[in-house]
Amino acid sequence: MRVLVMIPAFNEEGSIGAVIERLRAELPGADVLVIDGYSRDRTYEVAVEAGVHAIRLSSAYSIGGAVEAGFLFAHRHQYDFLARMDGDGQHKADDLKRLIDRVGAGEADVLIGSRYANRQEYRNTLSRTLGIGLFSTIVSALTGKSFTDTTSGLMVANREVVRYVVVDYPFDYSEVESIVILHRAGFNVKETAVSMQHRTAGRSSFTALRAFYYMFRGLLSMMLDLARPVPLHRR
Amino acid sequence: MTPHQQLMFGLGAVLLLALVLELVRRRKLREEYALFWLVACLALIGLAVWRESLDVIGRALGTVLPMSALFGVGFFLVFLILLHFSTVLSELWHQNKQLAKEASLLEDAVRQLQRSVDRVRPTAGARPSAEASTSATPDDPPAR
Repeated sequence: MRVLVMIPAFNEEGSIGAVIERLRAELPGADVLVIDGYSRDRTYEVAVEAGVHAIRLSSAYSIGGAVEAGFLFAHRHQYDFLARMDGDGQHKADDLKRLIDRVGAGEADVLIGSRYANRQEYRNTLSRTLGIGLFSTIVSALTGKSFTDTTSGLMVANREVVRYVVVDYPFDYSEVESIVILHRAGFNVKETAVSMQHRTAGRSSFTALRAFYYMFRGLLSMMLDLARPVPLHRR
Repeated sequence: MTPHQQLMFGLGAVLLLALVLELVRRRKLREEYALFWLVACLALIGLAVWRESLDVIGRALGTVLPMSALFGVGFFLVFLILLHFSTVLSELWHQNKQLAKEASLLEDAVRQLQRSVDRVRPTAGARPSAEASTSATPDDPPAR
């Protein structure tokens, strides 16, 4: 069972080393891929020195482009499972291990770690909370399943999903949209509660303006998704 | 539309047409994109030559002056061309992203190869190491 853990990172030199270290302790068999958006700090160098796979992709392609690169990497190197976590220390490696085990057991094709599924206290800005609430309502309505954290950066996908995202996925990757598209394509997409820590270093790259753009883009594309066919996943 | 106006618009459209053809001849403009401009130019020339057409279009659009109809049609054509450019830009953006993703994968593949080579031939100390040759230096231009 070959597992790749991708970590999209941007200006996260303060936390990325510890994140890699904890991953290695928790998942010794997994390969790690750091996808750096040409950070202004030493994020990329720290990853290279740690001896993990590291690639750079301009942050002009935003987080979606970075995630796409991770999917492409997993597809080309034929990994059985692709996991994703943040580089800021918010996600716990043992949570990820649990997710990987469950996808490995065939419980789901995609398993997303939710910060809000068990209504745990987690501080957030108001605009972000509103956006998250709106998106989870829409996504839950469209899929008929409960999704509480549609922008989560913690997830595990199996190789069929990886192949689908690289070969058939019709447009730019976004967390929210991917849930709806993968569900419509015939994959079993699920969510599970995970605990979340506050970032250990750096700060979120999410600004108010970007949040607004993100919401606008997400709403527009999800509405239009309904008006176009999604290529079905061939088993 | 007076014959004077007709002449000036006709000349303008012909000039535009000549410019488009010349750009294609010099290979500064791909035929694919020239097609839209050629259609627009020919449409404008047609409107200038066949003056009754503007009256017909003007009546259909509900404009008082035939000249307004000309502006309306011209504006619509330009709008279509601009929209076409937006689709071209979107396509280019997508292609660029694909290239960037492929290049980023190659960067890692080269480093992994270099590491294997260094393991097999650890004595070749004169060569730059994997880290030195492929890792970022402060002089690296940020890719934007």
